[in-house]
Amino acid sequence: MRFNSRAWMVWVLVVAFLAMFARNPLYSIILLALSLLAIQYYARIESPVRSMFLQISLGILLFSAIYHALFIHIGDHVLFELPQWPLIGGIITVEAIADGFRNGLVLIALIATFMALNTIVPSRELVRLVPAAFQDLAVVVLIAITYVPETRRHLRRIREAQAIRGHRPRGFRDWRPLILPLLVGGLERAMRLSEAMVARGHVSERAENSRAPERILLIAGLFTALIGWVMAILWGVSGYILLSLGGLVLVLIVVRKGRRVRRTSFVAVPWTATDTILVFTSLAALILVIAPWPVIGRLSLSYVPYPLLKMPEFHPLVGLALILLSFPILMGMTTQRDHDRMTEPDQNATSSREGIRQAR
Amino acid sequence: MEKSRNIIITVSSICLILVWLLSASPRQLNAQDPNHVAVVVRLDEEEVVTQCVAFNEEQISGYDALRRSGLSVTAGFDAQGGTICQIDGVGCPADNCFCQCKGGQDCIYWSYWHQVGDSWEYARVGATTYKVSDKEVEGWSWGPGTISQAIEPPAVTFEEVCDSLGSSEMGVPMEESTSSGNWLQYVLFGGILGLFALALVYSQIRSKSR
Repeated sequence: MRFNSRAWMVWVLVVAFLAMFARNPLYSIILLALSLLAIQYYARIESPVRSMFLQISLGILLFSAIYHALFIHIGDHVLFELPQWPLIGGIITVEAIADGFRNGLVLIALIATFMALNTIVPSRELVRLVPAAFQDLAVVVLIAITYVPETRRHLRRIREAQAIRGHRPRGFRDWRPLILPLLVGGLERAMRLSEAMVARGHVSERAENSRAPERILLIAGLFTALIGWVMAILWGVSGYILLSLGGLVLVLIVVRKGRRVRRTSFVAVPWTATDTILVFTSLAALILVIAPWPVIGRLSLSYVPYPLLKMPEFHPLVGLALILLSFPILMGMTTQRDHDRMTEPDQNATSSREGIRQAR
Repeated sequence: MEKSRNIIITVSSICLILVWLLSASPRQLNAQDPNHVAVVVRLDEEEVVTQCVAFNEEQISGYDALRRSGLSVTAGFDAQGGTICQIDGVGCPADNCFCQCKGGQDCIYWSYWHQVGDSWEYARVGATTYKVSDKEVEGWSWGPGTISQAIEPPAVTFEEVCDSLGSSEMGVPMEESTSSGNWLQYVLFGGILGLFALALVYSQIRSKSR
């Protein structure tokens, strides 16, 4: 089962928005679980990445809890009291620590959501999500998102090569034989990439993409939007009209510029009915949670542990609305079986080929 | 071996920290508290509430003084501290603390005041940061909140509020830690997490069987 990258993008944006909007830790846990399950079903991540995510998550929780404990001195469950030092002096409370955990959980849910996007959607499709007008930016994004995994693979190769030669890094100095080849390898990779880009005529397109009237209009649109934004804060409606006008000019320029860029697609993932359902369920979950329905407990979306720590509320209808976001996981569960069935003959063929080789 | 030892150490540390956090009990107030602060709340042009708050600490925050006044208080909190959103039903909800401060109109919110001598002084720091001592007068006023437009609370002395104690003295005990809502909601939450756990196990089984 494979969803279109645009449908995934909608799902990820809805999950990320709800993670920021619903500050209740129970909902954050559900959104975090949804992202991790999506990764489990649609991406294969290596064990070191998994343990790194766990370590980062624990680090964020710990840092957030300590930060809140030191800087927020509100709450009735007092653990101890620091002397009146600037900023951090005062009572250290369980409520502040709980608030730190709550904020940390939101951050972890956000990281997991974007990790899902990064691991499920291939890099080339992520780049295609960038509007055609920002083609140069798309290339930079592609290089940026492939840089870390590529460097990690290179480091692992170097470590393996050094290990074969009996090298075991213990102290800081022992890392020099690893760092230097990594640096040289990185530079070589950058050179190869730039040569490949020049060979594909990347630089020659620059002249065509920049036209003076467009640039002037772009600046005018940005300026109008900025003035509109300031006016919207100060005077309300009239500012919003100007802001919309500036935004419209910007969108038109982006569309116009994008039309001049030609893109070649070798393997296009078609938009199917399941993509439509994914978008529909994601948007339905979003509307159900954020719209002011009388039956949905919007108050439960926020959770404030101060001044006295209490259990966060869990509204069943909000929980059910969030369940709508599990559509891709349901599809992954049902279609994985089909996938297995489809791949069985291939596996048999592979095993029979191996059998023949062994017989020879 | 080393890995399992690390796991044991991590789990034990987390358990110890949890026990330490859970062992903290809420602060208790003594009915015979030696210190007092007068709290003046201007709800609108006509209605003003005054309370004498007793406390046994040397100093308490302005927010604590307001909470202990017995009036219902709703506050919003972030890393910068707390903001008073609603007092005695007047004001905004916690998730939209400045609900009457949008779109370029008058910015109406709860302004915070301290009485210095005979006059009111607009607070320079928030109520969660400011420390109140014995015999001080604290003021809250609902209306345009900026320093140039804010309406100060009416002139009231500490003696007027606290000397005729009797029924007006407050030293409200902290409310008990309550679980809001019934246990069924947590059963449902557990059920959803259980379903997710089953989905995870199913995925593991499928990938192993392949």
